[in-house]
Amino acid sequence: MTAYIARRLVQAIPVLIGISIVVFGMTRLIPGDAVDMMIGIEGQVSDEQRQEMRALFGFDQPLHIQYLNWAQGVVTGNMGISMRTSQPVDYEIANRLPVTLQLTFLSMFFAVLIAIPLGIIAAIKSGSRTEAGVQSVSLLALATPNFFLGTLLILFTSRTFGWFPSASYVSFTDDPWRNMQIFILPSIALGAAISAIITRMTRSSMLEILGREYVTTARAKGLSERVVISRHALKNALIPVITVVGVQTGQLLGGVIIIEEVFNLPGIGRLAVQSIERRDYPVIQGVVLFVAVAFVLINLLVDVLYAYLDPRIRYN
Amino acid sequence: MTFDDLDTRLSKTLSVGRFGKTTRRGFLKLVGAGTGTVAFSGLLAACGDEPDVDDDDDEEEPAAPADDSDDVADEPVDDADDAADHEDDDEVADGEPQYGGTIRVGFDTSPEGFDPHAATNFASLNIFEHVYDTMFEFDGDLELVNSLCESFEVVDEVTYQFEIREDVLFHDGKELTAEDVKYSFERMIDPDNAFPRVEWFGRLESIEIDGDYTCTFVLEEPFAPFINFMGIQNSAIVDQNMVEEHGDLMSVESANGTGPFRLVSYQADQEARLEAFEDHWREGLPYLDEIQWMIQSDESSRVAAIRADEADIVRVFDVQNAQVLEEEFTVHQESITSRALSILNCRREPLDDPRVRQAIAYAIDRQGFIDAAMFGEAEPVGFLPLADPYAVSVDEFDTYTQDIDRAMELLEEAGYEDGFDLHLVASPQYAMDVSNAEVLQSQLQQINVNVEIEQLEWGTLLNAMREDRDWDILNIILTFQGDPDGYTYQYFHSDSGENHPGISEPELDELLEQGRQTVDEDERMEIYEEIQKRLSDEWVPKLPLFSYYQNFPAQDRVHGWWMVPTISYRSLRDVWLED
Repeated sequence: MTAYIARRLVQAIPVLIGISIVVFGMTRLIPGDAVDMMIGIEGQVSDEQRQEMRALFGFDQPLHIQYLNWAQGVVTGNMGISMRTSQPVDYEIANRLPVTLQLTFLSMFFAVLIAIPLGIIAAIKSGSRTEAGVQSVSLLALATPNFFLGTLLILFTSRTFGWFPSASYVSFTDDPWRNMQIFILPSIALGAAISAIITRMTRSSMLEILGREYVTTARAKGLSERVVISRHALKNALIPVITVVGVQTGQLLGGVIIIEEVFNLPGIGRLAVQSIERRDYPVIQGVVLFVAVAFVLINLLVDVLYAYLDPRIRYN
Repeated sequence: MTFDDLDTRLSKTLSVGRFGKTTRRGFLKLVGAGTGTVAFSGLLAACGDEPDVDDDDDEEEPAAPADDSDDVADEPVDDADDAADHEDDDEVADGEPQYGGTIRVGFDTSPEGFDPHAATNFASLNIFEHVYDTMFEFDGDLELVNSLCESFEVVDEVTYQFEIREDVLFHDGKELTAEDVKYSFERMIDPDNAFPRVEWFGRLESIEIDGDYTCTFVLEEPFAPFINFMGIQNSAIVDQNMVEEHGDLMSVESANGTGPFRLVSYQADQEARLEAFEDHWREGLPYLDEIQWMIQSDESSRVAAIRADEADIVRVFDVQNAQVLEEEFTVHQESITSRALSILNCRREPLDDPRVRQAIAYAIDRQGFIDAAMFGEAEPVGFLPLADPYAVSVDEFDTYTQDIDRAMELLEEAGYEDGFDLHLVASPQYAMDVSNAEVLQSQLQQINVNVEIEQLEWGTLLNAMREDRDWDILNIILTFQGDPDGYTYQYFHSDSGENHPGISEPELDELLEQGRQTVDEDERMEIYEEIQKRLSDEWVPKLPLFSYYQNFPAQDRVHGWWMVPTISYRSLRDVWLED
């Protein structure tokens, strides 16, 4: 197993290098640079001074040199300094990470909480109106963009309950109750589409398992339907569902960008947007690289979990 | 507020010209200011129905609110509908200032570090301006008044001698001396720092210190704007020890100024906290214990915050939001120095012909822009902010009266009577830039000019403005620059790196240089009068459209708030909260 994990990690390296090159190149393709943004519209700055400022940040060097300088830093654990705030990039990310993690895991929690029972019901009541209902609701949830749903939720709760999303973020340790109030709507908005995917996955996986012979055997033994479903069928049906949960968790890290903007949450999604607006290259690169690494690690974790859940799976 | 009220108020404001709402408070401040005033234009008679404004230049004692009743009689233009105006209502009810409390301010953008010499954005400036003081500051009339500077003397055209206050302490207890002043200015112009506004003080040849409280600035050549630039918040007096200890002044830990509040904490994109500095030199100030500066980037969340009483004062940009909130809250409507304008690209055909640019200037109707983009809540403006002492009244500009026939004549002369296409760029970052583009598009149809609008992302627009230059018209908002030179030289001198219109007129260059070198105030006034008139009617590199207000809904317990038109929140030092 250790060898497998090591191999997977090594395989991830070219992927991450590829991503870093693409991100580096793309940030430089956006017209305007960080110096333009720093000067804003009204700095009284001559062309020469502007070039001096560029040189100060190393923008006057050829792109591949700039890239190598940055990559060298990253490898040695130095992700650079934010050009916007002069703070180290890892500090900026670490500062925002708790918000994004909480949002990601709460969304996933709500999604799973709703999706698995719904998926099971849809599978058991296959062919019924209930199944049709579950299927169409999940299709709708899947087709609704999360920012749109988020805006709808804000409008709905403020119109009907006079309940406005809180204006400023409060951390869980400061005030758990307010914190949960802040997170509930964005988590639902973000979790809806994922819950739809998981519902459909649970349903089809469950249907397949229910047709297996060992389920028939269990029933023949005279076990109650409840025990058949929960003890025998569900365990096996959940294995593919876990893959989906894993992959979607990685996706969520990317999906928070828009939702954090809509709900005014200071997470890494907002950090990314602000950095792009301000052409804060080191932070953009840092955030994207961070999300890429997280994605790779989560997928690895899912694969490892597989082996644990299904002893037939062996990685050698 | 109904639209009728609005009309009355607007016409009122227009009739008092540049001495509109905010400026009257400035006068009051001047009355109390006494020794603090550097330049004093004798217009006091017109002042005064805003009694709560504590004069922030009087350091001896917290100013008691003046009695309103006397002043109203002197103020013929304003007594009619005072009662309808929330702001005045609130202020008439003011009592003795009370100490203590935390004010919760809802602001829209995140600061980008707190180094006053490096930062160029208002989000940083509006925080560090409470932490640091400057030698001078601008009052509500955009007149320069003393702050850390006790008095100064112009020895000759290039030599200025400053006496600084002797009772000033930094937040860490260190005493302010001339050494700190010298260090701060030298830091600003140090080429190694590459600070963006080195232009302001780059002509400093030397700073000499005589004793603890006197320093003499010697310039390489006469440079009149110099003294006004010392009043901008970026020209802060900082502590050398902090720079040496921390490398720069970006972090909270490195913030050590002489201002009324200490910066205590900042959580990225969430909030900054500032606490009152007990030993601040303006005696009795500040009243507040604490400022909780909340970053709420979404306008709707700021509106929600004031509604839910999670904020005491917030900034709203959307005029309609302000109008809705006016039914529940006191909405402070503040005249500021921000101006919306269109830059004309003088490098490209057909706008390289001044007659074509003049034709465009004659073809537009500014009230149309004000009504469409700002629901009437703005005023026509020239090349300088309305309140600037150097500003020429817009009535004196010929092109400010719409004249389609004249426009057509000019186009005929230039050979463009059949019309042409123009490519306009604007960024949706500022909604009014885009709505102005649409108004311009429809107004220019009258002279057969077809405007195509392209919306660009903000950073892309800045790049297009400076480097790419693939546009005929570019819409943008400009704000405070401290000195008439700041509004003109950098944008219109043919050698300037920020000459976005690309205009090159030898006569204009010469006038701009004279403006810089002329120290005599009356002579300078004449030079800038000529510059403004000829920019508006002859050269037309830009179309200044309007100067807008900014709206600040506040809870009723907030007293003493006003916004300095330089877009400064420094009146928070005079603000007090009613229990």
